[in-house]
Amino acid sequence: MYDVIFIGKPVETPSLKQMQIDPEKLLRCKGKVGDFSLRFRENGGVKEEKTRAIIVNTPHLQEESLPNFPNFSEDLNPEGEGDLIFIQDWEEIASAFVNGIGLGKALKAAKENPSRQIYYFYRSLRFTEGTDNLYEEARRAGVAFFRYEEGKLKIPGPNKISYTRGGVSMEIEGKIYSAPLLKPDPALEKLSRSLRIIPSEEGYLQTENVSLAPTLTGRRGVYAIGGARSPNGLAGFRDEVEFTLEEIETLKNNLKPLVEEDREVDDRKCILCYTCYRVCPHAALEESTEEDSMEVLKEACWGCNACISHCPAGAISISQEEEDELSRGLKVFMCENSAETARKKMPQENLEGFISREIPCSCSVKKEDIYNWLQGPEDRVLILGCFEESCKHLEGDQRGQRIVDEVNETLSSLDLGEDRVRFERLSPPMEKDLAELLNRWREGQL
Amino acid sequence: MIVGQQKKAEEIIKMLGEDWDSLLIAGCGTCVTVSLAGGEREVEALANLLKIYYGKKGKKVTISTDTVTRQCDFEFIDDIGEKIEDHDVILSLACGVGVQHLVERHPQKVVFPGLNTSFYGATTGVGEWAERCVGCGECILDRFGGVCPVARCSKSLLNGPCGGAQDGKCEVDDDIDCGWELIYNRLKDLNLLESLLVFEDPKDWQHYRDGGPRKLINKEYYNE
Repeated sequence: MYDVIFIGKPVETPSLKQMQIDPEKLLRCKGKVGDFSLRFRENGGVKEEKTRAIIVNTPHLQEESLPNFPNFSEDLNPEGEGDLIFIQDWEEIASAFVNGIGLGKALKAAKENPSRQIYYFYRSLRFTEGTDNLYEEARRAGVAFFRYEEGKLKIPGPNKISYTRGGVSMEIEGKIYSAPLLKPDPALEKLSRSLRIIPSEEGYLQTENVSLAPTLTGRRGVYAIGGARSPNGLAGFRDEVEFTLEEIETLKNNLKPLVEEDREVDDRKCILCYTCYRVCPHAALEESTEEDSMEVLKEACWGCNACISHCPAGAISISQEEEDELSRGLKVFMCENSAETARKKMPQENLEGFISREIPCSCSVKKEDIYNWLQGPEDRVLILGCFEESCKHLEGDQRGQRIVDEVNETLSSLDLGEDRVRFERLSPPMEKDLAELLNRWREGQL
Repeated sequence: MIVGQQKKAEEIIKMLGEDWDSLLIAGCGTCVTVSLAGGEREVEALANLLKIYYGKKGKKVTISTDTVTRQCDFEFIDDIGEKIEDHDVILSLACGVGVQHLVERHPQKVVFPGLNTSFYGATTGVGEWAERCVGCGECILDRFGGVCPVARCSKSLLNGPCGGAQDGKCEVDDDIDCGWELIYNRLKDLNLLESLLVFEDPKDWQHYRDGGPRKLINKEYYNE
């Protein structure tokens, strides 16, 4: 059993037992935090190793943001003459990492070429520890910084730019260097499938979700650093590695489940359709090795209940949970990660007249239950989930929204009322908005 | 597996009509549970929805639910035999096979289909299925790199593509991959392109629907 297996480039781990696998050689990852089992190709055969944690560290790929112009990482010509022009953010706002490279390069150029004028054009400067000094130093060394609006910087010739901002308008000639665009390694696409990690829109393994610490992925015990995590992590690479290794130390010494109640699969009802496996954002379900059914891997489960609400056979439930019969009236279901936190800070009289329940995620609400809660003519249901990109369960808010949309569409087609079920998004500090929302919903004015 | 899609609630209600007091919604626990159309969850959701509908209309009804492992086998239907008999009408959320098998077992009962049986398909994404086989009765996948020209080509052409495909997409719909492009690419990857030079005789459709309703006997098991 290894403490950590690196997929991609390893980093030094003095107190953790480690090994490394090339991204293209990984075949499959089964198991859970503390007990992963990785299958991979080695010397013409297939091998399997066990590990407590996994770190993915793939390189970032650089693409030219301005084709035909050298980028920041290429050498400056020390013998050359004429002015030097650095352009950042031509296509998109560069990450702090690229920002740091550009500033470092401009500073170096200014120091080594006191006779040449250095220009630095940017739309946004993102400072991290270290790069704020670079900016100050570069200014002192004579680098001229110009902020430009998108589309307001033109390149009329191979060595020429024209700049307008406010009342200022100028044309400059010089050797142009452009910031590179950082792209995910193509290997990440396959890795996201074999490791069962929901990737970000750009294809990185970390989704920049506010509920996930920087190197955490949706699968507990699998971490993404460097170019696997996204360019935003590159500037603070060492800190993030340190944080990740500390996390793994903690897991190694004290691995506890994240949720108290067990989610149980009834092996007589489970038909191995793999729906739970596919909808779980945390890769916490696998086919049992003992029963002819799926099983919830306890330490991997984050408790969102997506498996329970989406199981087509009704085979998954929380142990010892009793049926919650709700009386008629206005119901509000609040996600424990957003609206429920806001509720605690809100004057409780705003909840008067509501039957309210705390839920682990908006995706945990079952379609069949919503219909059950709407049996009375005055019944209405309000489901409060998180904003996109802050849902702890990554896609939970979207799933919750889709359940509500489908229910509303069906109710409307049968003339059973418009808008009897409502999905809204909140964040924990929005207690005032919650109060207003509840009052408007009570009055039927949403 | 057989992929099904639940009929719209409006259509189901119209189909059920008014001439009943008790309804049993019968789910099927195999293919259509996997394709998320007729398993326990869908049965319960539909029952609760219909209760809202008839409640609003003021029609007093009893709606019960049950889901058996497979409606295409009598042994499972018999598990809920009394329940079927005790209800005025049955709404089956099985595929067309299950609905008819239920009818054969309970010839006196009115049984309605709650699903449209869509096709034989594979799960191609979460909540997504795609047709892969038409059940033609005479498999020819060996000659086409494992990609079926009957199921994957809109025209079921056997000797190469039509002229309507563009950029790998079928002229019938841009969302459909040209089956023949899939076949070509696959055989090219396998270094077997030459096999496409062999002329494929016209297909004997007697093994398909053109020979009438089909029946199959496994002699080892079959008692005459």
